[in-house]
Amino acid sequence: MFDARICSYPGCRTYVSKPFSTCFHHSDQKDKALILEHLKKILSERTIVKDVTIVGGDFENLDISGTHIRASNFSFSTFRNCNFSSSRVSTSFFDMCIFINCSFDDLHARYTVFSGSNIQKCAFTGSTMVNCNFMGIDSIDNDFSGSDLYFSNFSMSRIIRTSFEDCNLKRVNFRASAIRDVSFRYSNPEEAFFHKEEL
Amino acid sequence: MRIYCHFCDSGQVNTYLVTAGEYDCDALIIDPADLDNGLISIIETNRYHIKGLLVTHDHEQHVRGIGTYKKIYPCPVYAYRKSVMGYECIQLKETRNHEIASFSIDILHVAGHSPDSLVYVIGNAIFTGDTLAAGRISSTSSMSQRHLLVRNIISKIMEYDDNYLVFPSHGCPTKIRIERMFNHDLLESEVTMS
Repeated sequence: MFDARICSYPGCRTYVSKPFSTCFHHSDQKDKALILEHLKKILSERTIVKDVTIVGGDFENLDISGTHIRASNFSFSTFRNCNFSSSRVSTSFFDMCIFINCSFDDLHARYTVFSGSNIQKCAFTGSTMVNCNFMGIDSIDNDFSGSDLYFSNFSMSRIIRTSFEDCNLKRVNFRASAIRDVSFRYSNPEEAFFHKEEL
Repeated sequence: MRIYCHFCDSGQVNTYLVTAGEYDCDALIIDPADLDNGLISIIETNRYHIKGLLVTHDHEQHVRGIGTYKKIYPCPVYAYRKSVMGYECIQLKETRNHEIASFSIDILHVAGHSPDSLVYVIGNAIFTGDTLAAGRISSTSSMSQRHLLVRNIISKIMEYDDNYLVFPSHGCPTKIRIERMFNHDLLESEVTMS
């Protein structure tokens, strides 16, 4: 897993960005540049991104397609126009992030956390996202069509103008979510949970 | 530390393989629900040495793999009870910094779902079994047990830092921060209690 040491900046409880003793946010500009350069190098090689912690990063036009992200922590980060297509993501944390206009088509994610994120104008079509945590997300103008969302959790979320057409929704949890202009056509919402009593 | 999440189809339970390092090192199994080729392949390829099977609670779907594990990887079973599925266990009680192989583990007794429910805290990861899951608390047999479970979760699990990772026996992983913000059952009970 990513390094569990806490940032040395007084009062900060965030995990450090290896190999430094502070989190990404409290790293100086030179260290930040080094961390990002290292990440871009790994991404360009299309190898496994593992044990990386970048909390509060800001990424634009980043091509992560075809990579394998494992045991990493990108909480509180912003991703604009980023491409995660055909990537494999496991046991990683993208909670409290902002995703705008990103592509997750054909993504294979398991045990991955997107909770509390603001997701807008993103495409997740044809993806497999099993046991993923989308609790408390703001999902606006997104497309999950053709995805397998088995055992994923969308509870306490605000889901607006989002398509779940032709999806596997078995054991998907939508409890206490505000759902507006959402299409479940050709999917199996009867196997999902919308109320506490069904869980 | 490395954590492998393994989904067991039968019973829809997560089994966790926790390893001390990347390769050729000690490892623990949390909730030995099932053992299949995928998990054996990870253990063997990376030469992990299974040093113990940690049981969160004695419900069949969480422990039905104990026999198979013990045949392949002879190691002790750790649980709250003296025996599980007919196998003798090393009994665990609530304690901090308990040493098992090269792991230091906080053991929390969180009764409510079942009287023998244990939660294991290893490093920055909390393995909650059937106590706290993403967005909900586990089922209980009565309202008094539910009240007990909520009280135990709030006083024992939620006291950990917001950044601690939570790995439940069913469903997706989460973090303490996320549960504070979006766990419907806990939010509801806070309102009831206040």
